[in-house]
Amino acid sequence: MTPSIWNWGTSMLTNSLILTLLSLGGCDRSGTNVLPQPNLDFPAVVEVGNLEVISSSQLVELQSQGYNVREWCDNSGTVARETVGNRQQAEGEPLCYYGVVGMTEIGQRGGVTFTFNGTGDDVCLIVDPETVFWNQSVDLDQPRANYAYPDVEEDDGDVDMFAGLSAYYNGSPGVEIGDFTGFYTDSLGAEISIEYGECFQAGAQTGMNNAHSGRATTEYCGLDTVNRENVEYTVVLETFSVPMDDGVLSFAAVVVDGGCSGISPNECTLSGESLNPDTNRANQNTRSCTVELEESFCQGQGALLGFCCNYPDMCGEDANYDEICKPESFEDGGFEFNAENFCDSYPGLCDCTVAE
Amino acid sequence: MMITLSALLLTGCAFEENLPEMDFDGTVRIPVAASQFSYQFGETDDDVIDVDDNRGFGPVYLGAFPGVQEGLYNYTHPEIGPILNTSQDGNTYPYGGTSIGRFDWGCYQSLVCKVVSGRFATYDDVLEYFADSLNDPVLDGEGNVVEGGVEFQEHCFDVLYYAADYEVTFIGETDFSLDGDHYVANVTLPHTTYAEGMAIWGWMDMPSASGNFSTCDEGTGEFHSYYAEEHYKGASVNDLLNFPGKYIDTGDWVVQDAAIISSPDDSFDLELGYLYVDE
Repeated sequence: MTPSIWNWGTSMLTNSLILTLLSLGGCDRSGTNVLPQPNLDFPAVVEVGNLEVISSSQLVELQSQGYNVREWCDNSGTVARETVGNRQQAEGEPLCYYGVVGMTEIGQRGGVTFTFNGTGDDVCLIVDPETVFWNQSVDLDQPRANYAYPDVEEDDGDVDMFAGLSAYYNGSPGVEIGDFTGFYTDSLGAEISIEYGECFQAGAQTGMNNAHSGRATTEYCGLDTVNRENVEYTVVLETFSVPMDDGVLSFAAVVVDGGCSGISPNECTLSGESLNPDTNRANQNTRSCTVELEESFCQGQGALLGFCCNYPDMCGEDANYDEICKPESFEDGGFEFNAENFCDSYPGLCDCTVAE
Repeated sequence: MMITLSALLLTGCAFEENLPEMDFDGTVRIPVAASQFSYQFGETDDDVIDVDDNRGFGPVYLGAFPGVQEGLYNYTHPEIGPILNTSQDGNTYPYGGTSIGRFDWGCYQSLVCKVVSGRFATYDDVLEYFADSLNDPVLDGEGNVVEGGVEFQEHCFDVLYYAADYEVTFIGETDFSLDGDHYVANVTLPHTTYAEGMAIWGWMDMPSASGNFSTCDEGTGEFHSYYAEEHYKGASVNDLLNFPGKYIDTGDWVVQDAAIISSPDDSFDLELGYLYVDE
């Protein structure tokens, strides 16, 4: 064997060993460092109890609560009762719920469950996880100025909503999250799993009816409760991701009388769901400026860019402020305001103070 | 070392996976009388013609089911699972299935959901069936009668971007041959989950008096866009074997005695012997 071949062989052997060791080192990476750690102060499985179906007029009242919305929902059992579908609302039952759920142990399912009773008519289930999410527009050719400012991704969570008759729910409320899978055994003994869930959400593709919204985005679905008046349904909000900033996911949930088409739920149907993660429920109040952030997002017309330029702490921390908030950015969008006079155009979106 | 590797590879070829899926071969027999049906070629009740032509056979749908039951419908029907909502019967949860013939876009909008593969030998065969048997000639995109097989072929090659007849799937070898009082076709149910005692059952979708097939949806399928021609090519509905009762209607021929499969090696012989008439 010549020295050059010997050297080449030795080199290859060394490289192979290094590569093998590196590969083995890669096996140690679990990825758990990019997930928030469970906090025992906030349970990962929460049972809310029974919610009354809210009427459309009561929903309007809820939407006018601003920063008092969590408290209003907690006390909504005292709101005057109305008829929903074919029945009268039950006395004392809350009409909505704003709350928090903690991070699960890795590999376990967590989330929230609540129940409601069928009205004998259509109802619309709506859930909104904190806070607001958008993709920053980075397209140089056709920038979307409204989304030029980045989002704070660390304050966003995600839940996936499922619902069906409580009789089919196989979880243990407050203990273990389940689903609506049942089993049918045919005459030859073959076991077939059946989806008894009824909350179907349309996806982007034709025929896709098992879709779920992404982070911080409202999910909703319609349920037909005809012939099921006063029959109990269970709604499951399964935790998909918990915000990295505090390891606690806050959310809002409501069941509205009538179908979803008359509501067209969006980020602002339920606002103020970003709550302070306090173990004392009385202190779980809506975080400052998040209602204005949501309203800016829904407003469109560049309001989000204007809001972020005035409240950069509420938006992405890695933003190039000088570049994104320069007057030309607003000109590109054709807006009738800029970063400096935005608050004159939208005074209602500029009267909050960001918490320290 | 190479020998060892080769030996290992060869061993892999002999590996028995013990999968529960099997191919089941069989024959389907349809009474000669099934080729007789009525067709309304115009708008008035007088514009009805009595047809006797087996080229009018629709697709024959076959499935393997855990069992069949009497009493669910006015014909033998596979057993069904739980009824989950009031608007639909229970699912049959079939183990597998296939069809003899399928809907095939016939290159013209006037043929959407009206042409079934395995029924026509040539382009002229198609034109002759619609013009002579149904008194309803094939029309091109401008509403003119397609005059001959050459014109038909050229149009198909243009819109399908094909260059040979073997690529055009609605012409060629036909599925059925006459055998005494029956038209007979060979068929294979591929990759069907085997369960001892399962029943093979099916039906043939026949055209309604207006020429429509209940198992084809004209408003779906691939979209055809070629100069002024813009329309869907039509497609079969996707839950045929799960909910046969939704689609079997007057004039369809249904299996009365399902074939029971007792062994993975069994073959079957089915007769679609029952003409269903909605009363």
